[in-house]
Order: sequence, then structure tokens, then C-alpha cells
Amino acid sequence: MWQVAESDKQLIRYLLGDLSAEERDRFEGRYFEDDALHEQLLAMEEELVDAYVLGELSAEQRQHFEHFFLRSPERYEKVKLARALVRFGDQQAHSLAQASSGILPTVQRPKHSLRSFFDFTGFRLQLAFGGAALLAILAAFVIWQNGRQSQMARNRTEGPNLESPSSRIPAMAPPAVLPSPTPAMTPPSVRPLSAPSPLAVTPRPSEPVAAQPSYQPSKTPAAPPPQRADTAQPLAALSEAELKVAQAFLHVEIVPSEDARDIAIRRIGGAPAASGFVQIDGPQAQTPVLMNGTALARQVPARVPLPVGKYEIRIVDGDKILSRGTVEVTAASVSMMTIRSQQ
Amino acid sequence: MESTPVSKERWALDGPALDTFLTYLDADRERAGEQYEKIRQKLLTFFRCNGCWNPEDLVDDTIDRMIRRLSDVEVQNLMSFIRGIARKVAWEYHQKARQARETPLDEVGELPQSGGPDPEIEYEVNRRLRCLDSCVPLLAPDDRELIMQWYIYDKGQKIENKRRLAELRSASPGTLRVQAYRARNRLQKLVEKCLAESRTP
Repeated sequence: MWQVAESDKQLIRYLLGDLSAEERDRFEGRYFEDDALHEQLLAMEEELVDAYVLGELSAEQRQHFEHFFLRSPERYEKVKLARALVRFGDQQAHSLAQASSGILPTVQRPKHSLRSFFDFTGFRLQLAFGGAALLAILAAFVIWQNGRQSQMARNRTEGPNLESPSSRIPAMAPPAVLPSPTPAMTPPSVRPLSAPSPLAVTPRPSEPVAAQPSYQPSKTPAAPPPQRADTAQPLAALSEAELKVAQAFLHVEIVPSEDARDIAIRRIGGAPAASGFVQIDGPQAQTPVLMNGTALARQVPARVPLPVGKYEIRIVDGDKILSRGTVEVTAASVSMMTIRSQQ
Repeated sequence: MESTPVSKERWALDGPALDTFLTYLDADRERAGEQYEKIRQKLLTFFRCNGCWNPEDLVDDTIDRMIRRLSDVEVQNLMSFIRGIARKVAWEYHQKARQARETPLDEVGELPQSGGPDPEIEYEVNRRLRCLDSCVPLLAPDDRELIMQWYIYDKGQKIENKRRLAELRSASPGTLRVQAYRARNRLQKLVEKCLAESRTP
């Protein structure tokens, strides 16, 4: 959990849009007059982004971050850079640990931690360590740089153009699954449009929403991006007639729950709201995914973009709801729902 | 000290008006430029923190209006005056936002993302990671050292790492944070340049 000094809490609350109008006005008056306070605020902004990327914010802070803080494109950029920096730090730490274990065999070096460098109080030992660590960093950097260059060269000769997103994306980790608390439900017999088997919604077990940094070697093999399940079927591809048919028969419906905001997304001056995806998995079937009378996908499996918020996913047959589950969409995440055939 | 209602025809900030404003800030042109930049930065922060999506445009609007008004009124406290105009601009922005039409979901398309396992985001993060490889060595030694020390620590040791770092640098946590912010800001500029260059064929 992110720990901040009492004196910093006002900065954070301001950044997260959590101050009352009066407090905000007073605080703005202060930093307009005080350059140092303004710089502290900017520095705290960076630290807040780091804390978000590291998954250290409380649920409430994260919600404020995604709903309020991320309303600016500059801040999206900060999040991307912070993620890269965290990975960079992990890679450096890893390289450093490997290199220094070979370079400093005679010095008792506690574990593989850079921080342990600061544990020693003797000046001479610090000096010796400083020199050795510098060598280690340089060695690690050279090794790592060479590795990257040769990997890039390999990619150039073996793979397609590195600039193409499809070749630059590393193999994707399994998507994060957001809390979907309802248990599996078993519907009675249903009438699919084309796939004959009845369906049941089975929310997958919960996992936290990602943001934890993990060590990722820089030499990630270039791999094609995973195919979006709904790429072949563009959004709203159904005609009005098809939509009516879809609504009359078996389909998946996404319904915003009370906490969901901006379902009809309000876009101001081209300003998009934060969004994520819901991945609806299951045996391939002509089961359309609808929301507010609009087709988001023609069939499952499908991945549909949704504004941040809570939603209920229903399996509906005509006007009968066969099963339902809830899902929370957070910024830049993929929440999964699985539809399984019932035997 | 309210500004006049916005005229239909947008008043253009021309050279003489800007000159007058810079002179107003400071007789020394260099110091006036620095002051101007600080005002811009504070206004950017103000609009970002007031939930405005396009702060750059709103900053320009605020400065236009401020300079325009300065020729009409005598201002006792410039920063307070600027903030008053900025508040009005932000209020107008939110008013317009409320009146904006709702966009159907299917028109939204791909949105900027903040992180997570989405492949597009992974691609963007990896691009920045590659740029960091080349940009970190370009930093001044002190900045480089601070960035490395700031981001390299054992898992779960972030707080302890910063405490030790502050001790080592004889700085308060707040000062250390500002130092790291400045270093990271310089790094960000290099990364932005690197990203722009990598886009050009």
C-alpha cells in the first residue's frame, strides 16, 4: 500500500479531485503564489502515477485516479512512461545482480540487492563498493546493450519490419480478470441462433488488475499480437432487422449497473473517457453481444471496449434472462466472462 | 475583477500585446520569459487538475483573455487575477461539456490506455522501454544516478529505498521527490524525442 506523509495528503487529494470546492480553491491560490509548492505538486503527480502503475493505490484512490486523474492525455503519457521505467528498473536490477555476482566474488555482498549497498556504514567499504558497483553497472549495461542490439539484428533478419506493431508486440500475458462475484449459473434449455448448445455464464475467478510490475527480459521475442476475437466482426455490424432478430433470440446483453458512468460516452472536443475491455469467451457461436440496443459484436468470443464502470452481463433469450454475472471494467484492463456449453 | 464576456470573434494575441505583457511581468526580458513559462505551467496544472481534457488550449485562451484585460484594468495581484480568469475558462469548459452531445459507444473506437495487459499498451510501453535504453545514458551523471537509484530496489522495498536515498543525498523526502521529478522530466523530453524519431521512416 502506498504510504505518504500527512503533509502530502492534501497534494494527493487535490490531484485525485478529492478536495471540496473551497479546499481546492484555497490550495490553488497557494500554489499560484508559491513556485516551490507547485513543483512539489508536479513531483507528487509523478509519484502518484508510479504508485498506480505499481498497484499501490487503495481501491478508492484507484477509482479516483481512473475516473478523474486520467482525463488528460499528458497523464496517459506519464502512465506509459512510468510503466516503462518500472520495467527498466527491474531489468537493471536483474542485470546488476547477475553481473555483480561475478565481479565481486571476494566481497561479502548481502544477497543481490542494490539497497544493501547503503547498509554499510564504513566509509572505505562504501568507497570500495562504490567502485565495484560502478564497474558492475557498466559491465551489466554493456552486456545488456549488446544483447539488445543482437536481438534487434535478429529481428531485422528473421522477422518482419520492427516498426510494424504486429511484430513488435511481445507475446501477451493472459489478460487480467476483474472481480466478477456472481457464481456460475446454469440456465435452462435455450435457443441459440445457430449454435445448438445451451449456454451458461461462468465468471472466472478473480485476479487483481495487473499493474504489478514484473521482471521482463528486454529480449522479448517478437510475436504477432493475439487476434482480437471480434476483429472479423466490426462493432454495430448488425442491421436494424438483424438487431431485432438478435434481441428476440439468444444473445448476450451488457447492462450498466449503478456505478457505471458514461455508457453513452460523452466525448467533449474529441476527449475520450477512460475505458477497458470485456472479453466474452466461449464456444464460437452466432450469439450477438448487445448493449442499449446496439450490437457490439456479432458473435462470441468477442472483446468489446467499454467505458470504465460496473456492468451486468446477461444471457438473454427473447425477454427471458437465463443467467447473469457482473463485471467491473477498469482503465486499460481486460475483464473476462466465459460462456460455457452446458452438457 | 471579472473578465468581459467572450466576444464571438476571438481576439488574437499579437506581438505587441505579448511584448507589453512580458514588460509587465519583468523589465528584464529573460526573467519575463521565465515568469511567463511559470504562469503557463501553473495554468496547465490548474486545468489538468480541474478535469479538463485539453489544457493546452485552455491555457492559451486564458492567456489571451488575461493580456486583453490587462490593458483595461489595473491589476494588484497578477496571479490572483490570472487564476480568476482560469476559473472562468474552466467553468465555461465544463458548461460546454455538459451540453455536448452523447457519442454512441460504437463511434468511440480505440481509446488511449493507461496500462494493463492489452497488446497495444504493451507495444507502447515497449517502445518507451527501448527509448529508455538509449536515453538514460544521455542523461547528466547526477540525473542518471538518481533515476537508477529511484527505480532499482528489491521488491517491497520501495519506501526503505527512498528513505536511504534521502539519507544518502542529505535531502528531505520532499526535496528528493522534486529532484527525481526534475531528472525524470529531462528524461521524458529525451524519450519523447526518441519516440518521435522512431516514428519517422
